[in-house]
Amino acid sequence: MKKIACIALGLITLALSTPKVSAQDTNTDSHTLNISIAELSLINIAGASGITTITLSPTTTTAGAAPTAAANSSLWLNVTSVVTAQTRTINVKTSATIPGFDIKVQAASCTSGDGTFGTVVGSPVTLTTSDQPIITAIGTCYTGTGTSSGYNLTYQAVANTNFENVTASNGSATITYTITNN
Amino acid sequence: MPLIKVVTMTVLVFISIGVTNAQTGQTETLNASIPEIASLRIRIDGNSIIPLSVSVPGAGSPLTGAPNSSSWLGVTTVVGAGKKGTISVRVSQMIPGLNLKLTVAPCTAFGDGIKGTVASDRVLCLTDQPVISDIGSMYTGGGVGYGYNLTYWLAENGMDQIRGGATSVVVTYTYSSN
Repeated sequence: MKKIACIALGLITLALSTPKVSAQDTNTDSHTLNISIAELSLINIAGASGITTITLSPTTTTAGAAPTAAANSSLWLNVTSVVTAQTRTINVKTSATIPGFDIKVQAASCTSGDGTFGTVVGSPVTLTTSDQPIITAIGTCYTGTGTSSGYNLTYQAVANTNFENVTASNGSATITYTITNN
Repeated sequence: MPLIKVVTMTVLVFISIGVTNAQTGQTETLNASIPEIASLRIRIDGNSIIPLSVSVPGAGSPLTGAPNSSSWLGVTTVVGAGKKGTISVRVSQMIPGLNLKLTVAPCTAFGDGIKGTVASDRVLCLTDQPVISDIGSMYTGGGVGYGYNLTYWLAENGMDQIRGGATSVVVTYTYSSN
Protein backbone atom coordinates (compact mmCIF):
# COMPACT_ATOMS: atom_id res chain seq x y z
CA MET A 1 0.00 0.00 0.00
CA LYS A 2 2.87 2.35 0.78
CA LYS A 3 4.20 1.80 -2.70
CA ILE A 4 0.86 2.82 -4.16
CA ALA A 5 0.82 5.85 -1.88
CA CYS A 6 4.23 6.93 -3.11
CA ILE A 7 3.16 6.54 -6.74
CA ALA A 8 -0.01 8.51 -6.09
CA LEU A 9 1.85 11.32 -4.32
CA GLY A 10 4.34 11.37 -7.12
CA LEU A 11 1.60 11.69 -9.71
CA ILE A 12 -0.11 14.48 -7.80
CA THR A 13 3.13 16.35 -7.24
CA LEU A 14 3.99 15.97 -10.90
CA ALA A 15 0.56 17.19 -11.96
CA LEU A 16 0.79 20.27 -9.74
CA SER A 17 4.34 21.20 -10.54
CA THR A 18 4.38 20.77 -14.32
CA PRO A 19 2.59 23.62 -16.11
CA LYS A 20 1.21 22.86 -19.54
CA VAL A 21 3.13 25.52 -21.38
CA SER A 22 4.50 25.23 -24.87
CA ALA A 23 8.24 24.91 -24.98
CA GLN A 24 8.45 28.05 -27.11
CA ASP A 25 6.49 30.25 -24.69
CA THR A 26 8.65 32.26 -22.30
CA ASN A 27 8.33 35.49 -20.41
CA THR A 28 9.02 37.45 -23.58
CA ASP A 29 7.69 37.49 -27.11
CA SER A 30 8.10 39.78 -30.07
CA HIS A 31 6.78 40.38 -33.55
CA THR A 32 7.61 42.50 -36.57
CA LEU A 33 5.87 45.60 -37.85
CA ASN A 34 6.44 46.48 -41.48
CA ILE A 35 6.12 50.22 -41.95
CA SER A 36 5.64 51.61 -45.42
CA ILE A 37 5.75 55.34 -46.11
CA ALA A 38 4.73 56.21 -49.65
CA GLU A 39 6.24 59.16 -51.51
CA LEU A 40 3.63 61.85 -51.95
CA SER A 41 3.42 65.08 -53.93
CA LEU A 42 -0.01 66.66 -53.90
CA ILE A 43 -0.89 70.26 -54.61
CA ASN A 44 -4.20 72.07 -54.74
CA ILE A 45 -5.27 75.65 -55.35
CA ALA A 46 -7.76 76.86 -52.78
CA GLY A 47 -10.11 79.81 -53.09
CA ALA A 48 -13.07 81.05 -51.08
CA SER A 49 -16.11 78.82 -51.59
CA GLY A 50 -14.03 76.63 -53.87
CA ILE A 51 -13.80 79.37 -56.53
CA THR A 52 -10.35 79.56 -58.07
CA THR A 53 -11.10 81.97 -60.94
CA ILE A 54 -9.89 85.47 -60.31
CA THR A 55 -10.33 88.64 -62.33
CA LEU A 56 -7.73 91.31 -62.94
CA SER A 57 -9.09 94.52 -64.47
CA PRO A 58 -6.39 97.06 -65.24
CA THR A 59 -7.72 100.59 -65.39
CA THR A 60 -6.84 104.16 -64.42
CA THR A 61 -8.56 107.45 -63.75
CA THR A 62 -5.44 109.50 -64.14
CA ALA A 63 -4.65 110.83 -67.58
CA GLY A 64 -1.19 109.81 -68.63
CA ALA A 65 -0.89 106.94 -66.19
CA ALA A 66 -0.63 103.33 -67.31
CA PRO A 67 -3.66 101.23 -66.37
CA THR A 68 -3.02 99.05 -63.34
CA ALA A 69 -4.99 96.33 -61.58
CA ALA A 70 -5.32 95.89 -57.88
CA ALA A 71 -3.31 92.94 -56.63
CA ASN A 72 -5.35 89.81 -55.96
CA SER A 73 -4.34 87.61 -53.01
CA SER A 74 -7.42 85.44 -52.71
CA LEU A 75 -5.86 82.14 -53.72
CA TRP A 76 -3.72 79.72 -51.70
CA LEU A 77 -1.54 76.84 -52.73
CA ASN A 78 -1.96 73.75 -50.48
CA VAL A 79 0.74 71.10 -50.55
CA THR A 80 1.47 67.71 -49.01
CA SER A 81 4.86 66.25 -49.85
CA VAL A 82 6.78 63.20 -48.63
CA VAL A 83 10.25 62.86 -50.11
CA THR A 84 12.93 60.20 -49.85
CA ALA A 85 16.22 62.02 -50.18
CA GLN A 86 15.45 64.56 -52.87
CA THR A 87 13.82 67.96 -52.67
CA ARG A 88 11.05 69.31 -54.86
CA THR A 89 10.19 72.42 -56.82
CA ILE A 90 6.84 73.95 -57.68
CA ASN A 91 6.78 75.53 -61.11
CA VAL A 92 4.17 77.82 -62.60
CA LYS A 93 3.15 78.65 -66.17
CA THR A 94 0.26 80.24 -68.01
CA SER A 95 -1.73 78.96 -70.96
CA ALA A 96 -1.60 82.37 -72.65
CA THR A 97 -0.04 85.76 -72.20
CA ILE A 98 -2.05 88.99 -72.24
CA PRO A 99 -0.88 91.46 -74.91
CA GLY A 100 0.58 94.61 -73.36
CA PHE A 101 0.44 93.30 -69.79
CA ASP A 102 2.62 91.11 -67.67
CA ILE A 103 0.81 88.76 -65.32
CA LYS A 104 2.94 88.38 -62.23
CA VAL A 105 2.55 86.05 -59.30
CA GLN A 106 4.39 85.74 -56.04
CA ALA A 107 4.02 83.07 -53.35
CA ALA A 108 4.27 84.08 -49.72
CA SER A 109 6.05 81.82 -47.27
CA CYS A 110 3.92 79.14 -45.67
CA THR A 111 3.28 79.60 -41.96
CA SER A 112 0.72 76.85 -41.41
CA GLY A 113 1.17 73.08 -41.23
CA ASP A 114 4.53 71.45 -40.57
CA GLY A 115 7.67 70.33 -42.31
CA THR A 116 10.18 71.65 -44.79
CA PHE A 117 8.30 74.24 -46.82
CA GLY A 118 11.19 75.23 -49.02
CA THR A 119 12.02 78.71 -50.28
CA VAL A 120 9.68 81.00 -52.16
CA VAL A 121 11.13 82.96 -55.05
CA GLY A 122 11.81 86.41 -53.70
CA SER A 123 10.40 88.58 -56.45
CA PRO A 124 7.19 88.26 -58.48
CA VAL A 125 7.42 85.76 -61.33
CA THR A 126 6.34 87.09 -64.71
CA LEU A 127 4.27 84.28 -66.16
CA THR A 128 5.10 82.74 -69.50
CA THR A 129 3.94 79.61 -71.24
CA SER A 130 6.99 77.78 -69.88
CA ASP A 131 7.44 76.46 -66.36
CA GLN A 132 9.32 78.72 -63.95
CA PRO A 133 10.12 77.91 -60.34
CA ILE A 134 8.10 79.72 -57.72
CA ILE A 135 8.92 77.56 -54.64
CA THR A 136 12.12 75.53 -54.36
CA ALA A 137 13.77 73.08 -51.94
CA ILE A 138 10.53 71.59 -50.65
CA GLY A 139 11.00 68.57 -48.43
CA THR A 140 8.46 66.58 -46.50
CA CYS A 141 5.66 68.87 -45.42
CA TYR A 142 1.99 69.60 -45.28
CA THR A 143 0.61 73.11 -45.40
CA GLY A 144 -2.93 72.74 -44.18
CA THR A 145 -5.94 72.85 -46.43
CA GLY A 146 -8.20 75.56 -47.81
CA THR A 147 -7.81 79.31 -47.77
CA SER A 148 -5.51 80.88 -45.19
CA SER A 149 -3.37 77.72 -45.28
CA GLY A 150 -0.33 77.09 -47.41
CA TYR A 151 1.37 79.56 -49.73
CA ASN A 152 -0.67 82.70 -50.39
CA LEU A 153 -0.55 83.67 -54.09
CA THR A 154 -0.59 87.31 -55.10
CA TYR A 155 -1.38 88.15 -58.75
CA GLN A 156 -0.79 91.43 -60.48
CA ALA A 157 -1.30 92.72 -64.03
CA VAL A 158 1.38 95.24 -64.91
CA ALA A 159 1.59 97.13 -68.19
CA ASN A 160 4.72 96.21 -70.10
CA THR A 161 6.63 97.91 -72.86
CA ASN A 162 4.27 96.65 -75.56
CA PHE A 163 1.33 98.77 -74.58
CA GLU A 164 0.53 99.33 -78.22
CA ASN A 165 -0.75 95.73 -78.32
CA VAL A 166 -3.44 96.37 -75.69
CA THR A 167 -7.04 96.21 -76.85
CA ALA A 168 -10.13 96.58 -74.73
CA SER A 169 -11.29 92.98 -74.42
CA ASN A 170 -11.88 90.10 -72.08
CA GLY A 171 -9.24 87.41 -72.09
CA SER A 172 -8.55 84.45 -69.92
CA ALA A 173 -5.59 82.28 -69.09
CA THR A 174 -5.17 79.11 -67.13
CA ILE A 175 -2.37 79.13 -64.58
CA THR A 176 -0.84 75.74 -63.84
CA TYR A 177 1.30 74.77 -60.86
CA THR A 178 3.34 71.58 -61.01
CA ILE A 179 5.43 69.96 -58.28
CA THR A 180 8.48 68.02 -59.49
CA ASN A 181 11.41 66.13 -58.02
CA ASN A 182 14.77 67.79 -58.22
CA MET B 1 -11.85 10.91 -21.77
CA PRO B 2 -8.76 8.79 -20.90
CA LEU B 3 -7.22 11.81 -19.18
CA ILE B 4 -10.32 12.28 -17.03
CA LYS B 5 -10.19 8.64 -16.01
CA VAL B 6 -6.58 8.84 -14.91
CA VAL B 7 -7.23 11.89 -12.77
CA THR B 8 -10.24 10.26 -11.13
CA MET B 9 -8.32 7.15 -10.28
CA THR B 10 -5.46 9.12 -8.81
CA VAL B 11 -7.76 11.02 -6.49
CA LEU B 12 -9.42 7.83 -5.31
CA VAL B 13 -6.08 6.25 -4.53
CA PHE B 14 -5.04 9.31 -2.57
CA ILE B 15 -8.21 9.27 -0.52
CA SER B 16 -7.78 5.63 0.31
CA ILE B 17 -4.24 6.28 1.43
CA GLY B 18 -5.49 8.87 3.84
CA VAL B 19 -7.83 6.36 5.38
CA THR B 20 -5.10 3.79 5.67
CA ASN B 21 -2.75 6.20 7.35
CA ALA B 22 -5.39 7.26 9.79
CA GLN B 23 -5.79 3.71 10.88
CA THR B 24 -2.13 3.26 11.64
CA GLY B 25 -1.67 6.68 13.20
CA GLN B 26 0.89 7.77 10.59
CA THR B 27 0.91 10.93 8.52
CA GLU B 28 2.15 11.58 5.03
CA THR B 29 3.30 14.95 3.82
CA LEU B 30 2.15 16.14 0.41
CA ASN B 31 4.68 18.51 -1.17
CA ALA B 32 2.79 20.56 -3.73
CA SER B 33 5.29 22.72 -5.61
CA ILE B 34 3.75 25.39 -7.81
CA PRO B 35 6.45 27.36 -9.60
CA GLU B 36 6.14 30.93 -10.75
CA ILE B 37 5.09 30.99 -14.40
CA ALA B 38 5.28 33.73 -16.95
CA SER B 39 4.41 32.82 -20.49
CA LEU B 40 3.68 35.28 -23.30
CA ARG B 41 2.60 34.52 -26.82
CA ILE B 42 1.66 37.00 -29.55
CA ARG B 43 -0.89 35.82 -32.08
CA ILE B 44 -1.47 37.74 -35.27
CA ASP B 45 -4.54 37.35 -37.43
CA GLY B 46 -3.63 36.27 -40.93
CA ASN B 47 0.08 37.02 -41.02
CA SER B 48 3.07 36.98 -38.76
CA ILE B 49 4.00 40.52 -39.75
CA ILE B 50 1.82 43.54 -39.17
CA PRO B 51 1.75 46.14 -41.97
CA LEU B 52 1.40 49.81 -41.09
CA SER B 53 1.29 52.78 -43.41
CA VAL B 54 0.21 56.39 -43.57
CA SER B 55 -2.08 58.11 -46.01
CA VAL B 56 -3.29 61.59 -46.77
CA PRO B 57 -6.81 62.54 -47.87
CA GLY B 58 -5.70 65.44 -50.05
CA ALA B 59 -3.18 68.18 -50.73
CA GLY B 60 -2.31 70.18 -47.64
CA SER B 61 -3.49 67.52 -45.21
CA PRO B 62 -1.21 65.89 -42.65
CA LEU B 63 -0.40 62.21 -42.76
CA THR B 64 -2.64 59.87 -40.85
CA GLY B 65 -2.02 56.27 -39.93
CA ALA B 66 -4.73 53.63 -40.04
CA PRO B 67 -4.87 51.55 -36.84
CA ASN B 68 -4.08 47.86 -36.98
CA SER B 69 -5.72 45.64 -34.35
CA SER B 70 -4.88 42.24 -35.75
CA SER B 71 -2.61 41.04 -32.94
CA TRP B 72 -3.33 39.61 -29.51
CA LEU B 73 -1.13 39.03 -26.49
CA GLY B 74 -1.88 35.77 -24.71
CA VAL B 75 -0.54 35.45 -21.17
CA THR B 76 -0.34 32.83 -18.42
CA THR B 77 1.15 33.81 -15.09
CA VAL B 78 1.50 32.36 -11.65
CA VAL B 79 2.98 34.91 -9.29
CA GLY B 80 4.73 34.39 -6.00
CA ALA B 81 3.09 35.35 -2.73
CA GLY B 82 2.80 39.11 -2.44
CA LYS B 83 4.15 39.70 -5.93
CA LYS B 84 2.69 41.50 -8.90
CA GLY B 85 3.69 41.24 -12.51
CA THR B 86 4.23 43.83 -15.22
CA ILE B 87 4.38 43.47 -18.99
CA SER B 88 6.57 46.01 -20.72
CA VAL B 89 7.10 46.79 -24.38
CA ARG B 90 9.92 48.22 -26.47
CA VAL B 91 10.83 48.58 -30.13
CA SER B 92 14.01 47.81 -32.01
CA GLN B 93 14.20 51.21 -33.69
CA MET B 94 12.46 54.55 -33.93
CA ILE B 95 10.96 55.90 -37.13
CA PRO B 96 12.11 59.41 -38.04
CA GLY B 97 9.23 61.87 -37.95
CA LEU B 98 6.65 59.33 -36.85
CA ASN B 99 5.49 58.00 -33.50
CA LEU B 100 4.55 54.34 -33.34
CA LYS B 101 1.69 54.22 -30.89
CA LEU B 102 0.10 51.32 -29.05
CA THR B 103 -3.16 50.77 -27.26
CA VAL B 104 -3.62 47.62 -25.19
CA ALA B 105 -7.24 46.69 -24.64
CA PRO B 106 -8.22 45.02 -21.36
CA CYS B 107 -8.62 41.26 -21.50
CA THR B 108 -12.28 40.50 -20.93
CA ALA B 109 -13.28 37.81 -23.39
CA PHE B 110 -11.80 34.72 -21.79
CA GLY B 111 -9.60 33.36 -19.05
CA ASP B 112 -9.56 34.01 -15.34
CA GLY B 113 -7.50 35.59 -12.61
CA ILE B 114 -6.02 38.99 -11.94
CA LYS B 115 -5.36 40.40 -15.37
CA GLY B 116 -3.95 43.70 -14.20
CA THR B 117 -4.44 47.22 -15.45
CA VAL B 118 -3.66 48.35 -18.97
CA ALA B 119 -1.92 51.66 -19.51
CA SER B 120 -3.26 54.43 -21.70
CA ASP B 121 -1.88 54.91 -25.22
CA ARG B 122 1.87 54.56 -25.41
CA VAL B 123 4.41 56.02 -27.81
CA LEU B 124 6.80 53.11 -28.22
CA CYS B 125 10.50 53.70 -27.68
CA LEU B 126 13.76 51.78 -27.37
CA THR B 127 13.42 51.21 -23.63
CA ASP B 128 10.86 49.09 -21.85
CA GLN B 129 7.66 50.83 -20.83
CA PRO B 130 4.95 49.13 -18.76
CA VAL B 131 1.73 48.53 -20.63
CA ILE B 132 0.01 46.08 -18.26
CA SER B 133 0.68 46.31 -14.54
CA ASP B 134 -0.54 44.77 -11.27
CA ILE B 135 -0.85 41.35 -12.84
CA GLY B 136 -1.61 38.45 -10.51
CA SER B 137 -2.01 34.79 -11.27
CA MET B 138 -4.13 34.45 -14.36
CA TYR B 139 -4.54 33.08 -17.85
CA THR B 140 -6.08 34.80 -20.83
CA GLY B 141 -6.59 32.05 -23.34
CA GLY B 142 -4.43 31.88 -26.41
CA GLY B 143 -4.87 32.63 -30.08
CA VAL B 144 -6.52 35.32 -32.14
CA GLY B 145 -9.41 36.81 -30.21
CA TYR B 146 -8.00 35.88 -26.80
CA GLY B 147 -5.93 37.91 -24.43
CA TYR B 148 -5.08 41.57 -24.75
CA ASN B 149 -5.88 43.06 -28.15
CA LEU B 150 -3.01 45.21 -29.43
CA THR B 151 -3.71 48.21 -31.63
CA TYR B 152 -0.85 49.94 -33.45
CA TRP B 153 -0.89 53.12 -35.48
CA LEU B 154 1.46 55.81 -36.73
CA ALA B 155 1.22 59.48 -35.81
CA GLU B 156 3.21 62.35 -37.27
CA ASN B 157 5.95 63.69 -35.04
CA GLY B 158 8.15 66.07 -36.99
CA MET B 159 6.96 66.20 -40.56
CA ASP B 160 10.25 67.41 -41.96
CA GLN B 161 12.00 64.21 -40.82
CA ILE B 162 9.63 61.79 -42.57
CA ARG B 163 11.03 60.04 -45.61
CA GLY B 164 9.36 57.72 -48.07
CA GLY B 165 10.39 54.09 -47.93
CA ALA B 166 9.90 50.85 -46.05
CA THR B 167 11.32 49.75 -42.72
CA SER B 168 10.74 46.98 -40.21
CA VAL B 169 10.42 47.39 -36.48
CA VAL B 170 10.50 44.54 -33.98
CA VAL B 171 8.18 45.01 -31.01
CA THR B 172 9.10 43.03 -27.89
CA TYR B 173 6.92 42.33 -24.87
CA THR B 174 8.54 41.21 -21.61
CA TYR B 175 7.01 40.06 -18.34
CA SER B 176 8.66 40.83 -15.02
CA SER B 177 7.51 40.54 -11.45
CA ASN B 178 8.25 42.55 -8.36
